[in-house]
Amino acid sequence: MGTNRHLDILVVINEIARADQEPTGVRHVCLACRAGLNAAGVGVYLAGTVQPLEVIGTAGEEMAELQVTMGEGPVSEALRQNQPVLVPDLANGWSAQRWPVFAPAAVAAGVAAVFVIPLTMGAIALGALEICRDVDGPLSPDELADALLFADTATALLLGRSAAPAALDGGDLWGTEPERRWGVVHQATGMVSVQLDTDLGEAFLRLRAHAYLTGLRLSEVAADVVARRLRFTPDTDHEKQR
Amino acid sequence: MLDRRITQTFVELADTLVLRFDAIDFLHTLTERCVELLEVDAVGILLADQRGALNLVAASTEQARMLELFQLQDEEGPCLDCFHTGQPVECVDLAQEPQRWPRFAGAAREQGFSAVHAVPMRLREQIIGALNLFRTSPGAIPEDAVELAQSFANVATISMLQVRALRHSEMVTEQLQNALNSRIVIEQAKGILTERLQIDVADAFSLMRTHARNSHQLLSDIAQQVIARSPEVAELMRVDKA
Repeated sequence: MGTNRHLDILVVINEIARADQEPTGVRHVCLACRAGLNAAGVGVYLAGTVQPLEVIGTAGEEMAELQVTMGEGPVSEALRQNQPVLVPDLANGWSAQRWPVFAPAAVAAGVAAVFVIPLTMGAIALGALEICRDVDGPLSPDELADALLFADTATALLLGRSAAPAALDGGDLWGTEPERRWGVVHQATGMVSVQLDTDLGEAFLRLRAHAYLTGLRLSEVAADVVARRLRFTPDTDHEKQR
Repeated sequence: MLDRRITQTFVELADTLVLRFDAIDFLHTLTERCVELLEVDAVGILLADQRGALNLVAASTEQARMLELFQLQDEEGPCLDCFHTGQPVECVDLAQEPQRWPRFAGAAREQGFSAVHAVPMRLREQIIGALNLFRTSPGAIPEDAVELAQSFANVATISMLQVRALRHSEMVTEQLQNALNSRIVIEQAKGILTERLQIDVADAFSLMRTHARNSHQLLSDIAQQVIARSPEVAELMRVDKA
């Protein structure tokens, strides 16, 4: 199932980071993604900025420059629509119609296919992961699953980075993600954002930090919030058990 | 009389599809009609994401324990089996087969359910999820009700993927990811209203849904406005209203 796949990917990312003697970061996700998906280039873009946060490979740099210069392309489209933009053939008519200036230029730069996945969790929209390939053709179902998991990992890292509480370094990536499927986690995120008067990203982090510190599952902490057994308060920076 | 009601339901669903519509809202309507017409007690719709995990996207109830029961099938249960085999799965008496899905069967019986059915949601070769039916009394669902359930599952699949707009296979992934994310946005907004107005989650959901209907907007747009604290939903979010 998905979970094992996720763990395999995290092992690879953590190994790359260890070889670099650095804490796990977005760059290591990009490197693992390039190796795992035979990509010519990989980039991570943040919402609201034109320059990529991280780019690997000349193809990735080329794509970043083209899209900034021409003001069109798959990254801005994925960010705007908040959904994946998967383009298995940049040279076909549909791509040329979609991006009349960008598509031929990308092909000329040697990029044949591009896949962009937004880094998002509901209304928490952080940016996008771009994967470029020099051969055309779609991602296989397994490759697509991996691409989405790389995107999940980048999302988790970016979320952690924005607030950077000490407990939430790379090591905490393990086993946090699958619980996103539980609706109660997202309801609790909304509730905590009102309790703390913060945005959803910060609220989600506080939930995660609480789960981490208490050793409970994220879905259990969330269920306590929704059942009003647990409240977060801004003044004390501590949670109140009712 | 029932025939007439079934006809009305298909008309209602088809009418919705012609206009710009909200996938999650639509699926909720579908679960409610299933309860009404299939003589079952609870209905949920689970969609697989590309990571291979099942996500609950709509349910006929907002009762927390019930939602957990649906989501539990991410690990084991009739929906997971149905998703893997592409075939309908049924257990007419959970008490007779406690070992088939030990954790799921226990949780289901604790909630007072005796029989469970899952019907696949399929687009050509691809299984995208399952429709899940629960009954409090043991026994098989009548053949014609099973057929009707499969028709509802088919309609749900088509609506989800907005097949009319599918230009290439990548769009299935794009649409699916979009619907899954839109459901998270709705859950986050439910949490915000729940805490802001000190009401329960089910009421927060119906408030948003009613507001969407009355103002001719999509449920996911209302949810976005709640999250952004937009002036358009100021009335909806006022604490001191009656």
